[in-house]
Amino acid sequence: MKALIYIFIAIVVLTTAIYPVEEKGKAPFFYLSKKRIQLNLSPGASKLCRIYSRELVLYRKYKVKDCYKTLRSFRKLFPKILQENKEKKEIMLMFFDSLGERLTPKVTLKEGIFQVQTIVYIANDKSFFLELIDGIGKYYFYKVDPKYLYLTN
Amino acid sequence: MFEQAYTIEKIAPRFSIVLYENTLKKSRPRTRIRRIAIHRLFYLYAKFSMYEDIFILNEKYPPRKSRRKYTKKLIQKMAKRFAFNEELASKVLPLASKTDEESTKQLLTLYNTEPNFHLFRFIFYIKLKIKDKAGLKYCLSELSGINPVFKLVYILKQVPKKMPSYVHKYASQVSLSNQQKMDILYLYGIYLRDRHRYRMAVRYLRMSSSFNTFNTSKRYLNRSLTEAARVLITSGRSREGCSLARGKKIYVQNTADKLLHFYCKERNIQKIRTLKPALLQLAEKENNLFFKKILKIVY
Repeated sequence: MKALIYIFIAIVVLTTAIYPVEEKGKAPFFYLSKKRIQLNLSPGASKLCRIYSRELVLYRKYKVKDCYKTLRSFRKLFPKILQENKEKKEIMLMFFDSLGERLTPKVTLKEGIFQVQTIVYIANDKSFFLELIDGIGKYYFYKVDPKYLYLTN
Repeated sequence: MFEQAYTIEKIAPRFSIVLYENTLKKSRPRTRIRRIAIHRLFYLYAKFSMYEDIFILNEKYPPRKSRRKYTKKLIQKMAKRFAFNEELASKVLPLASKTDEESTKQLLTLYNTEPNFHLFRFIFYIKLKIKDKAGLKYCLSELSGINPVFKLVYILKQVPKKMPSYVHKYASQVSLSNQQKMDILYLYGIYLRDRHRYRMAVRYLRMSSSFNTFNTSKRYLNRSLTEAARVLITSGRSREGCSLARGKKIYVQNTADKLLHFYCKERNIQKIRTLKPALLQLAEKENNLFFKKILKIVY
C-alpha cells in the first residue's frame, strides 16, 4: 500500500514538472485580480451617481442623473443600478460629496497607487471597469469583479 | 489621376502615393505613364522609408539597372540601421513578396541561418500587405519563439472574430514586457475601433499609451495616443481628440498621422481641402472612417 502511495506521489510530481500549472487560470494583466479592492472614501459622506457624458478624456462636461447612498460594500447597490438601467449599453458612475463636488478616491493596488475617475459597466461584456489615473497622470482601464470592491471607513 | 498626383506631390508628397498607385494600376504595359508612375512611387517609398512597398513594387514590376542599384543601396542602409546581415536580407526580402509555397520554404530556410527581429518584421509586413495568408500562417507556425504580438496582428487582419479570445490568451502570459503590454492593448483598441466600439477603443488605446517606455514619449505623441486622437475625432469628439496632442509633436509615419497633424496642429482646413482626391482614395482603401470623417468636417 505504502509503495502504491509513493508511486502515486512520484507520478504527480513528475507530471507537474513536465506540465507546469502556474499559468493555468491566470487572468490578463488588465484585470484586477486582488480579492479586496478598497477605495479610500468613507461611505456615509459620499454618494455614487450615474452620469451622462459624451466626453471620454476630459470629463469637463457631464450630466448627473441618479444618485445612490453608498455603503461599505457594493453587493446590493450594483444589482439595483443595473436593474434600473436595463436598456443602457454603458453605465458610468462617479463619486460626489454631499455638496455635489466630484470625488476621485485613492486606491492602492499591486499595480500602483491610483485615483478612481469612474466606475463603468459595459452591458455588452457584462463587466465592470475602473478608470484610473496614476500619480503622473497616466490612464488605466482595469476590469474588476464588483464583489471585491469596498469603501473604507 | 496622374496630374492630380503630380499636383499633390508638390503640396504634401505622402498623399500623392495613393494616386500614383491607382495610376499604375490603371495604366497599360509599356506606356510612358506607367514608367513615370513606377519611378515616382519608388522614389516616394524610399523617401518615406516604406521599405515593404519597395520590395512589393519590384516583384510586380521587375527593376532594371538603376532601380536594382538603388534597391541594393537601400538594403545596405536598412542592414546598417536595423543590424541585420545585408547579404541575407538581399536574398530574403525579394523572396518575401513571392506567394508560392516553394519561395516561402526557401525564405524560411535562409532566414533561419541568422534570425533577426527586424528582418522578420519586414518579412511579416510584406506578407501582410500582399495578403499572403498561407505564407503568413506557415511563417508563424514554423518559427519558434516569435513575439506573440505578430500572431495577434495576424489574427486581427485575417480572423478578427477570434481576436478577443487571443487577446485574453496572450495578455494572460506571465512576464510580458511593457512594450508587449502596450502592443496588445493597442491591437485590441484597433479591433474595437473596427467594430465601431469607439468608447471602448479610446479607453484601451489610452491605457496602451501608459505602458509606453520610449524616451521620445515626452516630446512626441506615441502611436497609441495618436490612434486614440483619431478615434475621438472619428466619433465626433474633435476637441478632445486634438487635446490629446496638445504640447506634443505628432510622429508622422503614414498619411493618417500627417492628416492628424494638418487637422490638429496646423489647423489648415484649406490645405486639407486641396488633398481631396487623395483623401477620397484613402477613405475607400480599407474603409478608413477617419479620412471619411475629416472629409465631412472640411466640406
